[in-house]
Amino acid sequence: MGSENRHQAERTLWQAVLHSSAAKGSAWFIGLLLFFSIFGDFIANDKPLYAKVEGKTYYPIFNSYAHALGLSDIKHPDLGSDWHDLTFDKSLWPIIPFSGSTLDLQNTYKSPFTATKKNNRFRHLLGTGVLGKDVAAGIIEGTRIALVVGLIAIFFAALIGLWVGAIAGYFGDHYFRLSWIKIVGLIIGLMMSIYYAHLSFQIWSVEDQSIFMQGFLFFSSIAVGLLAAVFIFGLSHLLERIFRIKSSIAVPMDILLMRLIEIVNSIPALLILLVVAGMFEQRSIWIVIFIIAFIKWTGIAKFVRAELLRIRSLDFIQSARATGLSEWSILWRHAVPNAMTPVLITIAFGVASAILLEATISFLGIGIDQEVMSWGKMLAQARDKSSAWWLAIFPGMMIFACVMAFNIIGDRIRQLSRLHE
Amino acid sequence: MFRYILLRLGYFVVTFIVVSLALFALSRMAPGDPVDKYMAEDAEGMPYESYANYQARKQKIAQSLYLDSPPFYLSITPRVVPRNVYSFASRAARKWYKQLIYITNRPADAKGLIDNLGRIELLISQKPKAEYVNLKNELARIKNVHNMEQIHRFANILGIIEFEKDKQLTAIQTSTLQHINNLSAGKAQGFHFGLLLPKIMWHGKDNQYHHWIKNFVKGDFGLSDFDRRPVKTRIWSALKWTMIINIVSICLAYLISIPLGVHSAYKAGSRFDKNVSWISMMLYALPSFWVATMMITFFASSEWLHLFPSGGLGQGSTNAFLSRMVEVAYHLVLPIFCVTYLALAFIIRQVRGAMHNTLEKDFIKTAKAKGLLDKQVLWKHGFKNSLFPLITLFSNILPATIAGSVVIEIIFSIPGMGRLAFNGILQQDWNLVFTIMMLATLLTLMGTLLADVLYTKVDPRISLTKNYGLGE
Repeated sequence: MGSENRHQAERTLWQAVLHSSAAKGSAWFIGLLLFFSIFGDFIANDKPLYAKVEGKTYYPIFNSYAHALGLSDIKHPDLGSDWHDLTFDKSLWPIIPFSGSTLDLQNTYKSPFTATKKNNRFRHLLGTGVLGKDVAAGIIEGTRIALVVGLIAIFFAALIGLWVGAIAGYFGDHYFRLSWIKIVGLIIGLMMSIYYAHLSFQIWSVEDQSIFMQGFLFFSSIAVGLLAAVFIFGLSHLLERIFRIKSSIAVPMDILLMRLIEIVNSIPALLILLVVAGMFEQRSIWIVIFIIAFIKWTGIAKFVRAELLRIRSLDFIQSARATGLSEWSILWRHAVPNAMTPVLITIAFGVASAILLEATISFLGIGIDQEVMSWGKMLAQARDKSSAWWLAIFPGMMIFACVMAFNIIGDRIRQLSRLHE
Repeated sequence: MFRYILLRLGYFVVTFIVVSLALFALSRMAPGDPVDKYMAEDAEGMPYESYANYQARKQKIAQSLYLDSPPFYLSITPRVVPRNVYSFASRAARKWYKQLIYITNRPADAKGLIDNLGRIELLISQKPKAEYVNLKNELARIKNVHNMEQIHRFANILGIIEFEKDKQLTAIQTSTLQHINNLSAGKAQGFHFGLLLPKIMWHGKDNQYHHWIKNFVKGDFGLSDFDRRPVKTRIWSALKWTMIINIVSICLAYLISIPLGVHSAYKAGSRFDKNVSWISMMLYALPSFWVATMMITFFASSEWLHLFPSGGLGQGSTNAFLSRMVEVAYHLVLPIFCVTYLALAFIIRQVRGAMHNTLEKDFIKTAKAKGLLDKQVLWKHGFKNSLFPLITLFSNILPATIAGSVVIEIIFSIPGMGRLAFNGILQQDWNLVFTIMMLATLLTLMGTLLADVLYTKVDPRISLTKNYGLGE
């Protein structure tokens, strides 16, 4: 199967996926969510887009962007107080004139569509929660968290899953051959990489204990470890060349990697997520993303493996082998690209379940930073005040719709790929 | 068959050991040190004690928790780190000791300094004086910031103070300053390449992992770090509720979903099938914590309908078994509903998919052609051959009795395993948390083992193939 053919097949698959109205609706909805998460600051913000006060013109939102990018020294034009209290000659506000974290202490737990106490010009469309935080603005802000966690976590999961699944499925138990000296080199290299990574982290972290530096040092230490591993593995490669070691041993990659998957799967996902996120005193969205990626890669790896087991016996792989291509380039350039459809299915379902996991742990109050608004956190407010139905309904609807949209798309690809066969 | 089961058991043991290693490693990274916590708790209302006494008490606590031994059978450390690292009972001190050695290459002075700091802290807390305030602040700071700069700042403050009559403190002062001098001389020599050479040490059976896994297998889970009650009793009292909720809801889910799934596969493509598949998909996408919150908002609060209690398990005031049962059942209606609908959605989809695949096979057509009734074809030929995914699902019941309803238990405040684990995380009761994790993992592995054995019952071919259906 040439790449031209494959692109054609992929294009028709996508056209067929979008043919059903449910899938089309889901795709539009996900597009809308993407739009919200990218341009959220212009949709919900407690500053106007454009304002004319006492003859002077301001662009407060753009200004704060410029400040964040380091283009402007002034954070925003300092007019003494909350933008909401000013009298404007002219002003243009975002659709929702609040940010997710804006406090409106006079309007706590306002139900939707009712008049606000202080300034009726700025209504809370979907009501307010604790400390008068606007629900609609929170939903816009929560979209960003949900999509960032869902998409990035599954991106990393797919990266790991593709590698593991491809190697396990393509090489199986018999075709991954290494000389004994390289196996020894790999084992020693692995141990040494852990040793040097640990050591360098211990030495470096004496000097600076701030969380940012710790994160930076963590990754530098991993780099040191990798360097050590590459060095030792390279050494074994060199030895292999020098002594002309020809005999090789088949490493049962499939059994080993499937055991690894079983091990990861046997640990209860939600519990490990709660435990590891709870272990960090400093909260960060990245911790949540990495744990979710660690939990979710196994599903993708299993699918890729099953698909490659099928593909590797197909004719075009055999003929690629006959042309003398190396096994690795056959794997990555011919086998894996043809296994992308099942990966897409698991990615769609994976994003949905990652969003659900993030919402769950935010709901339980673990994981994401305190200041950032997320759907799960808004739902948690509803537990404290059961009369505020709008706090339960709107964020919940968003989680449901988002998860549903990704599931519908995944389901649709699955149906079609089955028909395809 | 026998060989297959034996091989499976072998895999089970190996997997369990690897998982236990991973969880053990994770548990050692958990924040907080139980030794320090116990020391602080025990110190309340205690008379002044000597430093030797204090250390002995600390050592005893560490010993009771096996924290005075090395973590694993084997350790790889730089050559400069001596074997006596574990004479420091507290984890923070141990870490600092190693770090000091790494940057200065002076083990003896590092140990001397850390011991002296402990002595000074104890002495000045026993005889508080106004002059000591600065020193005390520096001591508190040096516990968090370990670099040489901080140590020098401490040395400057310590050097100024005149302890006059207190000979003990004066002696400690001089020796501490001497140690600090030596350490900074060590640091001035720069990076020492001895660090790059690792030393592999064998510690034998007396290590933390060995004691931990041995006690776990024996069923001795130790004490809770939080309230020092045995973890076992806490788990036993919680297990009951989680098991009731999960077993009832999984049975309900199976009873409802199997007929629905089979029927919709039989009528594949019909309106009934489409409806069932849409509804199950929607149920699956409904976050259970949202449904639970909505249930409480609308069915369990005085603002709307007050049909059910919003949480807990009732007062337990009546001792009569029957009335207590009714009370508990009444409290469990909403939680069980919330766990059930999720399982339901999942099982319907699995059953429908498996049945659908089977019904397209040739032998079903043969069975139909030879004139069997639809019902017989469906249940005897079709259902029996689509049991595979059902067995996989069934193996999930075991772990679900521990970790199956974490969120629901928290929302409805039911004192089950999930809430126990969650509270354990919030209270940093890591011994409890990791025991629960180990139990849940063990049950998952047992479920998988059970499923694998059941597969061979359904399809004996599996145990006969060359590699037992494990690999290719």
